[in-house]
Amino acid sequence: MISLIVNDREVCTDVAPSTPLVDFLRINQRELGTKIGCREGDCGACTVLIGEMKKGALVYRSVTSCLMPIINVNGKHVVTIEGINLPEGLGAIQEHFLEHGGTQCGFCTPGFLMALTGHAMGDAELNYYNAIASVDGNICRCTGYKSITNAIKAIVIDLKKRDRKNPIKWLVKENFLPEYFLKIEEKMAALPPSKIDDAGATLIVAGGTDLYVEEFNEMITADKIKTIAEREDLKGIKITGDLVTIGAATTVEEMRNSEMMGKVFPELERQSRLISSSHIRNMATVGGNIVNGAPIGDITVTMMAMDATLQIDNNGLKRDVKLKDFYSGYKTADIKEGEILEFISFELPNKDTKFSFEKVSKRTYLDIAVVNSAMRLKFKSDTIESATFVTGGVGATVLSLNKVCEFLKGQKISNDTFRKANEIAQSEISPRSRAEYKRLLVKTQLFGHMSKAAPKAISLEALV
Amino acid sequence: MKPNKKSENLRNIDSVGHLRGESIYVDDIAIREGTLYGAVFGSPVAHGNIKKIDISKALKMNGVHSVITHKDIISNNQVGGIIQDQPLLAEDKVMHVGQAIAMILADTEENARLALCGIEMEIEELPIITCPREAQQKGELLVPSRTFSLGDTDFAYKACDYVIEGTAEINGQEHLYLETNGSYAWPTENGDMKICSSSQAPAHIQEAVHKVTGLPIHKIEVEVNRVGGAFGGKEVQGDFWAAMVGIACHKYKRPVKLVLHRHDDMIMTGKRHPYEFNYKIGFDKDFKIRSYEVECFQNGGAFADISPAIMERTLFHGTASYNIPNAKITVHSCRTHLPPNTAFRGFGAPQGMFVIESALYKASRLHNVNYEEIQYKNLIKDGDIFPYGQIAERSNAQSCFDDLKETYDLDKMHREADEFNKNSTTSKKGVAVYPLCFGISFTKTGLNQGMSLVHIYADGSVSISTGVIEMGQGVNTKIIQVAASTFSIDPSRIKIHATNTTRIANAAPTAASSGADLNGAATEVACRNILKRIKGHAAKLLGTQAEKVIIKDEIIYVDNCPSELTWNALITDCIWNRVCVSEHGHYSSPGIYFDKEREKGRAFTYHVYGTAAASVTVDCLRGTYDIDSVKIVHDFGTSINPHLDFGQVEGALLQGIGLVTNEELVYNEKGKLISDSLSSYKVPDIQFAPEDIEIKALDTAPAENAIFGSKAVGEPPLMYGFSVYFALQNAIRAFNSNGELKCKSPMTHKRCLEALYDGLKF
Repeated sequence: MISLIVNDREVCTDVAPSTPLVDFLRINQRELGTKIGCREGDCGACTVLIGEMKKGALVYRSVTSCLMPIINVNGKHVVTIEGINLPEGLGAIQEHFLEHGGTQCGFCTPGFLMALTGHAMGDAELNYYNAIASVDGNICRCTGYKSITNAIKAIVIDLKKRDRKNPIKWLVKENFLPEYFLKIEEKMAALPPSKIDDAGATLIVAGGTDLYVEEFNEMITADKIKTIAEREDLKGIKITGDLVTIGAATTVEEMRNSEMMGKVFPELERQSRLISSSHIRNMATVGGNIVNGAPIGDITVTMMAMDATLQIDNNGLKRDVKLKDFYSGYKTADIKEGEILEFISFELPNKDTKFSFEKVSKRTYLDIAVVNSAMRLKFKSDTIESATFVTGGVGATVLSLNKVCEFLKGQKISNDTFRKANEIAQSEISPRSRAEYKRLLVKTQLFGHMSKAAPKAISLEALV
Repeated sequence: MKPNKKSENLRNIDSVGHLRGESIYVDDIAIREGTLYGAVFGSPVAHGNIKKIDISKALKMNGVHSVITHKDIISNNQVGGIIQDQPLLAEDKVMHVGQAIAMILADTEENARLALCGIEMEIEELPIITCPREAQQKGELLVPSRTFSLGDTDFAYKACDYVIEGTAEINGQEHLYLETNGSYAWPTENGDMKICSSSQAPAHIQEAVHKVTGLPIHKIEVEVNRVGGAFGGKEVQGDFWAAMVGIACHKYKRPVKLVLHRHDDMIMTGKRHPYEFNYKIGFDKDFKIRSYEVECFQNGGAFADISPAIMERTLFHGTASYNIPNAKITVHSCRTHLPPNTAFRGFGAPQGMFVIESALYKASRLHNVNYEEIQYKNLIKDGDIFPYGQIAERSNAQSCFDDLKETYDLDKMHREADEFNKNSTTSKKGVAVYPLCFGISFTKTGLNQGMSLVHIYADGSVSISTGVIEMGQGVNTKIIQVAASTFSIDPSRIKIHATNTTRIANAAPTAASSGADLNGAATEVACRNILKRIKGHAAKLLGTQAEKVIIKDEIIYVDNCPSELTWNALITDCIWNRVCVSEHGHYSSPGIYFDKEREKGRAFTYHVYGTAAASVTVDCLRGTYDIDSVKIVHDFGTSINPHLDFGQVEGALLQGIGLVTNEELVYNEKGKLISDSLSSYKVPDIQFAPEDIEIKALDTAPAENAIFGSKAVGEPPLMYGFSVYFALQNAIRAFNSNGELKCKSPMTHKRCLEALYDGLKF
């Protein structure tokens, strides 16, 4: 039995634990404002908010309900468009959309409003940049977005006045949210405790963002699934000595917003906006991206370039494996049934370490890379002491280009070094489709990495 | 006429429902007991002979009720539009991947979908064609090729100073309406049925269901409440799903619902037509165009659908906004083994307009002449003749261009880009202009009619049903403005009802940007007729003559003095005195005709003009780019609702930008769509959309025969996207002017990077 709060009411249900939240909302609850646009998290029409207690505070995040197994909202508050409606008329965000014409056919509209409501409730700084980021997973095909960005500008102005200490109270007072939100904490505490029987479940799910796309039938027909998304011990980021350890169930968004990671990788916050969308990053886990083994995973590329080590658990038996040795073929990884990836760890970069990530996709945001790559260079003055260079999209797995790394050791960055490194890189990769384009991308990305590390030592002539 | 004060700033009347998530689309209709859910089984191969269809396994699967195949079609297995060439469910042959073969019916949508793997097929695969040029060579044409010509091109080339030949290509485009196609049918009494559909053309649906079930049309009630985006993709291709639920509902006397899964919608339905072109263009020494010939290869897909009509609009727009005294435009509508391509905002015009732009651009690059000068000196003026014989009247081509130059300081835009390019090595800017001219009217003259049924009730409230479909464009809001202004009442008194074939029969599809013009005018006709009668009655009551009576803000005036009589009281009195306060209005656009024998006529009621300038920045390391700004001067006539109309320009612009940038349809060598999901087909997102979009309404007179002088706005601004395409070309050439100029759209990141490094050695 799963119990949760849907908008302002407690609900207990015995639907299968793998039921996509969107179907539960539309079919069982008849909350029809949540729309189905694509069922793979790429349009945002089914965006809802999930509220849960974290460190004693009620926090909300936006997710695409098509990729959310209902088991992952057990004990939580699910908010649909109906749940942010005032008893009559329009709330503050809705009002700005009306005024600026931010809705045409209306099908994508609830998703945008939910995402922005999530932004209004969240603890990210309330500015235009973050407000736009909050709808980076929402597609509109009618408006051309201009009227939506105009509405967002007006919303951002309103939110400047928001009380930081008690945002929900302020949002209720200012007509962003209906009154029942003030009672949600109480209601959540009163939810009956529910125990989910996952004994014998063979399907292990974390965020679910890939499984619902790739294995939809298997997911929805599974009687039992085991979720690790809720395992607190697998969440969060720690730095001990010069070792960074990330719990595998940490979401990509948690990693992106982690202050600790921000200090280690100042560019991470911006770079990881290139990874899918806010809604997906709010569900997808760091470990999931790695175990999934896609030859193009952004996180995998990043972590492999950091020469990360994986800690894998087999019913209490722990073993370590280097990420660069983890994959043996397309979507085949060194992990057996019953094993769970628990932690990812890597050496803390220091001031002599330069890290760079590059990604080119068909569309800059909310897209899978055509080619992505990452490079870590450790310098001793201007000489490269050690290098890692990892590429995605140019082979059956994410590839660590070891020969390039070997070559770069002891070199200084120059046009010549680049040319030779590129020559070696081209011999190590084996793109199948769009091969010529991908080779060109590897070349320009390598140039990008090296010119970021030493902008003055290298020039465009090296490319042509 | 102008909109009255109360309605001039009206926001889209659907907004509140949309914003509260309470608007009802097909998938949201309350479920009727006993509903069966459909899932369509499409062909896995692009061309082949069906040897065996085995449904026995599927029938035994959980929750499955039955499987519908062509054998269940008791009447005519035919859903062809212009030509009867398309079976609803394949019989012995399949012609494209995703062609419907069977529909599973089950107790839940999930069970229906899960049972798809229970259908077993044996298909003997046959060779396929995906390239339109190859199809044309092999004589695979959907309809005979057509040519529009003016003057004598061959003779004119001889006198030209410059003659340039070339090729160009523009890919298709997926509609990606956010709401997929869907239909829900249920039996009513006497063997009748009601079908709710997400279609742009309820009358088409009736006809399709009539064909496949044999039911007379009056027994098939079709209703469309609203559509969650359509863009042409639901003009014809909504028919199939309605026909399928129609057959099942007719056979089993149960409610049947089918809402397509996104993948199915993308794989099974047709898209905007890809085109390939050969052109030859001749200029005099001043770069005035003297002669132009173009041969267009339209990739029609497996069935004719409405490709013949789309090819016609390519012919009409082959010379775009330019005056060309000698022109010859030929289109071949080619049969290939892709899903039947179909209507999409612009309807063949964008393709015809892209190729001539490519020709002008090539001329400017080849001879180092300013591109905008070539564009400007060739713009169409009053008295110039289009290749189809219509004479340009009230042309605003030049005035839009002039206004744009001045309003946005075009020279400065260029200077800034040049300055930037001098100082930057790894990124480059480009600026380009696109002048627009687009004809308004269905080119099939008979479709240019609108209908509206207006009732006034005893409390003075008004209900209107028209033939138009609301799909986000705000047409119902405009209809309210027309009625509120004609009656001079508060817009809140008026309700627009779902489009329903029992209230409005034989309506034209909501297409060709014509919905507001045709149905708005029909509404005006209906309101005026009612007004005449109620004014007559008011005159009787007030002891005066009807001519002296006017209604203003719901008060009856005599000789411009307010009387005691109000709208409410007058209406109630009319009803009790047996004065009819209902009316069915009909409107047909005047003065248009087209002679297909001669390919000449006055095809369009009027033309829409405009000019756009785009500025882009290309990242020359990555081949990616940002659109910095798009500045537009657009000819709205006198807009009935600038709020809605600007929204249409913005939306069409971005769709046009998508067409020429990131939106790339990819089929594999087996004719299977590879870009079959939102993860592989990329429409513009909020971070790609230019933030700096400025639109200025050209200061111009009200348009004749447009509703309240307000020109149609749905399709024309799509072509402003071309300004972005040529701005990208300019930026690329600022980095590498040695590469070969290829005018292929879209300019994907891939093509962009390849062009940046074309001819440079690695």
